[in-house]
Amino acid sequence: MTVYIQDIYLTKPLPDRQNSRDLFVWLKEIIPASIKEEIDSDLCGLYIATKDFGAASSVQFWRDALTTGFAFANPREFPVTLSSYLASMIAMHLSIKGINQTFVGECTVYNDAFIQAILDLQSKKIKECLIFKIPALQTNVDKSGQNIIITHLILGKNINHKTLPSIDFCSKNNQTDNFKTIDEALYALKETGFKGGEYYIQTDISKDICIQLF
Amino acid sequence: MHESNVAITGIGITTPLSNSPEGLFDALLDKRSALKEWDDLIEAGFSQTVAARIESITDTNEFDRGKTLSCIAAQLAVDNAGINLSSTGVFVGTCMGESSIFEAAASNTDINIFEGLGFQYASAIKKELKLEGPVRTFGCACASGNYAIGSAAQMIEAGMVNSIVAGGVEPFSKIAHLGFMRSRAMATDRCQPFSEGRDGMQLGEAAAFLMLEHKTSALRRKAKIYGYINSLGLSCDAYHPTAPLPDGSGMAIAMSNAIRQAHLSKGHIDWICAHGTGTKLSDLAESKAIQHVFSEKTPPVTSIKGAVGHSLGAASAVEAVVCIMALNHKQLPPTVGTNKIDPSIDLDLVCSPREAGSIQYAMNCAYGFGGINSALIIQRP
Repeated sequence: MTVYIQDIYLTKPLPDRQNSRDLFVWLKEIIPASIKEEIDSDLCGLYIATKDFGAASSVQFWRDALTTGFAFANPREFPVTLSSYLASMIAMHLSIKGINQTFVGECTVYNDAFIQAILDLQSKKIKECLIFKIPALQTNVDKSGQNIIITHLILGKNINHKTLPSIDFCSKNNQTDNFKTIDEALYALKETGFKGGEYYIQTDISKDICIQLF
Repeated sequence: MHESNVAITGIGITTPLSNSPEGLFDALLDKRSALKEWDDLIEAGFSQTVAARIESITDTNEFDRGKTLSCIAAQLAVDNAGINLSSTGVFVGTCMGESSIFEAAASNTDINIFEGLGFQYASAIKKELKLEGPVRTFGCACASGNYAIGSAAQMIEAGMVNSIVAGGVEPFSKIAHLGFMRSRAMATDRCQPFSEGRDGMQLGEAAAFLMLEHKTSALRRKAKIYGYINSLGLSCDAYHPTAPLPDGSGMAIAMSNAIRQAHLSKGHIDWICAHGTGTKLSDLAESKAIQHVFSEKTPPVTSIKGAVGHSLGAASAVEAVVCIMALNHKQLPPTVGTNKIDPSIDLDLVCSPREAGSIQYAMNCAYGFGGINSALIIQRP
């Protein structure tokens, strides 16, 4: 069965302070209302791609503990030190009970999440999913592109798929104009307003990814 | 029944009890525990000072400990498999990253926290072992090891990669030690999974890796096959940042998904290597999940966390190794630390080593903060 890109959202960056309260407020603001209405929570997967989520909050948690003394360290902030914290909060917010997976990596980490999501969709472990790209925080790591990308993928049945781009694995073709990351391809797709075309994304596995819209 | 194409052809571990799978399994059968008090935790002012840490590997830079542990274990797995294909991938699960770097940064030490990020372990293995296949890092809390192994198996089964070194690593983390302590999840005395008097978990540290290889390639080169990865069932509670769903229904979905995806029936599962942290809530929820899935005939259950502590992102990878040992030795290791099971928990808990001559399938369960649930099914060769 074919996998389609239902929608792509660009939302505002993470809050400056990575604590449970600010992240909770931020989360309620960034999730488009339409997503919550659209998804089937039991059969929806959630994939998060991040470079460093949890690092700044780990430093802050320990710094606070050193300041206040261990006996007064705030246990509510401990879960925020985990890279999986966002995935669990988003899952709670949207009641997503399917696969919940956080990928940690550098510039191609969104590819990693997409490859996994497409495999899980094609093997029918889930029938739709949300894939979040969380840009690196404003630590000393890097400051590249701060917007969060959310992609909604669905398995193709009972949808008007003529209007949606499909996404699938394809043979390696090694063309020089291939995209290196899926983020670049999604930006291009978004800019064209989902007009026709083909987008090839190089991967590190035996197949590449192809996005097509005719 | 689903015929798995993903063979386990190599195993490598570093744990507080042993740095060999056989040594670890023997220690478990002897009911040994590596949990002990640590002077540095006493000196640092922690009120709870028991943990299981690896004493056999001490010549590490404090800021490289996770990299060292993971490179040692991954190298052992590759050596054990007898191959070193450059196209081999590296899939690593980890929970906290290199915590000591974040701790140093908090103390205003001039240090680059980039070096502490979770993906650095996989990068180190790739570089050290000169592997050029795909690299992935799974930050899926305390279930990370299962996620890495399951995803690697899925990738091999789909023909996307031929071989992957997959597992988990977690150096001891003071941040996690404090976090669990302050969350009142840490045992005051000893970790006693599923016992009546249990009051929490205790931290461990470990690295464990499996060489996963397409069955065709393993058979072609006449490799020793330790077992097969059948399926990884996943689910999310979407309920609470730290607590599991009290009725264990999310965990049960992960177990049922694993059984269904492997095209097995619940009667095929001969033994469960439980998450069994020793916390009140998680152990009770897990026991309810097992009862719900397997109803009147639950398989025997063991938790090894009373022996090696809870090594977070590495825990389920270590437990996968114990599953493989149990399948190959046809013996079930006991739940070290537990003598009297909680009367409200209706499980066939293995409290002494048990023969299991007909064991064919083991289920390795792991759950994490945020209700991240996983169940990995491993088959005897």
